Amino acid sequence: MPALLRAKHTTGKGWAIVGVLFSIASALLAGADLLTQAMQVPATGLAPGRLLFALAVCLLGIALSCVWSGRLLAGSHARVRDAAPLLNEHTSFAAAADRVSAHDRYGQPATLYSTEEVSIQHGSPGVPIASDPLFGFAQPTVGERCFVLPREGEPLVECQDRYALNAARGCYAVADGVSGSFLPGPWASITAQRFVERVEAFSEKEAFQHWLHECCAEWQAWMQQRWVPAMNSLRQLQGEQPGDWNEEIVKGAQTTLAGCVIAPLNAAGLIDIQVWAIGDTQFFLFHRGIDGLWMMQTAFPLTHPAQFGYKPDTLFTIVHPNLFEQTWMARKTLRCSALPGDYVVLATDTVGKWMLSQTRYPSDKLTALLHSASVEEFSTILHEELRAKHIEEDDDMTMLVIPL
Amino acid sequence: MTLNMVGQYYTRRFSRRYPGLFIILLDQSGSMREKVDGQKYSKADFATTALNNLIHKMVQSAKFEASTGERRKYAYLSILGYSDSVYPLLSPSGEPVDIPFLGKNPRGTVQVMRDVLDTHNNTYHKVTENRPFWIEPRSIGRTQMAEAFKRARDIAGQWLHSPTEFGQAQRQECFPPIIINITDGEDNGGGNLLAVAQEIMSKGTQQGGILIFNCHFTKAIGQSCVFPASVSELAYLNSPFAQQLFEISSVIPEPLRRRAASELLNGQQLTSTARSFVYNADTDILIKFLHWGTVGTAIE
Repeated sequence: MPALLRAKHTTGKGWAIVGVLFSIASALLAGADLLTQAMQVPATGLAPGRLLFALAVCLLGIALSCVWSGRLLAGSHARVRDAAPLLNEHTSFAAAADRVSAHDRYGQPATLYSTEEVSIQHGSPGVPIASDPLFGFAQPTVGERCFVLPREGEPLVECQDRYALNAARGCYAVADGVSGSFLPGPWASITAQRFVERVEAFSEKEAFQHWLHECCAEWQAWMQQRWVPAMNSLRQLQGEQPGDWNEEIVKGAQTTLAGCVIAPLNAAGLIDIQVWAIGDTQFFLFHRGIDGLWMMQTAFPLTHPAQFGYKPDTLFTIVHPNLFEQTWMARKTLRCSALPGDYVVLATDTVGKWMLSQTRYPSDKLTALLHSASVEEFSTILHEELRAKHIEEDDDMTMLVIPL
Repeated sequence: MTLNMVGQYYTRRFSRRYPGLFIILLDQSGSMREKVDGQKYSKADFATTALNNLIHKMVQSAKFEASTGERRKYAYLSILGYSDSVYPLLSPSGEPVDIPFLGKNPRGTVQVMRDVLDTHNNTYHKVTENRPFWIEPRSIGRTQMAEAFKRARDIAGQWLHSPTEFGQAQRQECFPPIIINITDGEDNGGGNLLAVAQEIMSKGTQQGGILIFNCHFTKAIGQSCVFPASVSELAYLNSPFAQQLFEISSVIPEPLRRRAASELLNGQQLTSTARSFVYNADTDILIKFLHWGTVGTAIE
């Protein structure tokens, strides 16, 4: 669904409730009128015009109440994404909750993570673009810990890493926008969010192509209907001519993506996980040893620090048969099993590469990072490693920890 | 003699919060009129084209900010020409101009033909495009190199103490200014070049002293001396001027050394005393040297 259409669902929760109540009231009144007529009018019969009018109002009221009720529920879900609040300037952090076993989590009804109401009008060019939902970060709900650290000197709004959560479905994704492409952050946001929201699996090429085209369409629509008008509105305020970004939009954005679907505990006491990845954003599965240190059970798609290269495979905003074939061939999938208590970790390349290097020379730092309870801890550990040159390059760094 | 400050790191990336400064000194003396061997164009034409392409690359390397639609202000640039006198080539006062502003305000455009790969059938075809330019070639007069360095010294000093823009850190926290000198001949103007250079390199930021890169550009091809580590490596050139340029060139800081080697020496190891200096650079090396000294250092 294009961002603009989705945005319409998010406004006026109060009006939706009023609409439902009004519709129900209309239906009740019309129904009461019908009943009254039927009881009062003797054998001469009911006035057909009045009967038809009352019947029509009753049916209309029932129909409207159904529509408004549906929009109310749909708007709640969409708002989860659209109204996700921005986080602090340099970091994002989700408070660590007690670990919830997979059985407990998936035994509960689907939960929607709550967000603050955002009183902005989507599509209005006068609204600061930084308040747009594509720049927001979702709040965790079932004990996940999410850390986003922009590179030194950059504000969070320009960070090109994004993550998405769908605890109800056990879907999680992290995306890393390619800095050399045009506005990769929003593209990363779109692909991560659509990954966790998708209904079909990517086992079939057509399903993946359909999904990718929808992502591309959303990016294009957002660019033309939201971003460009917002930028031109800024320029107008500064007395400048409208900008022309057509060339850059045509070249488009790129992102890597790694996502997983975590199933409920099965009869064998295991948790099945499906992983899908393109590029060098990493999936890890960690198991805690009796010594308290976390051991890496699975690393995917890359298994050695030397495999990280300069130009990973990516998802493009450009719709082209050759690019799609390239992307389809480059995708990687994995099925694995985990135990309750394990950690699933999704991380962008810099953090992922560092994690892989830690398994070669075990250190307490990996365990400390996985146990980070605050963004300050996360940042401190990684910046120490950067200063010690165990991390070669200052880059956006993102890590999602999902306790099973 | 090592003129850099010892123990500094030069690790700060260029960014909107920590922008850098490049000052390019372009020899526009009469000797730049010479034709490059085997080509129709002169050294002045080639050097000017190389600089215009470099500015274009610096602009293209400034990615767009998602929140403003503007290119990132990761660096400032000043270009000074020198011949009988020293004069600014970008802004009227010589004051550094930020990269996004340069992108929006070229002096004009020229038609450029280039080969573009058609990925459908894997063939190249020619495309004509209008390429912006900012400076124009000139070649007349003497070579007032020391005066050019004095002007660069003043510009760098003013920039280091200038008020910062919103969102920028103090200049002292940034990567120090880089001065790149492109010349084809000897300094035959007034002033003590070595003294000025020493004064420049004694100043800087918390990240290190101001860096001076020197590129001696020749019309010949294939006789270059790239990143020498000692004066003895220049002995075969029998050129006091080469030694002078060596003495006023900074030691390549360790964080820049690997890229220097990969861009200009096909990955050969550089010693810790290698200087940021090329003598007898041909056209290919000039382009690579400029790229390494600017975009390569700042962004890639």
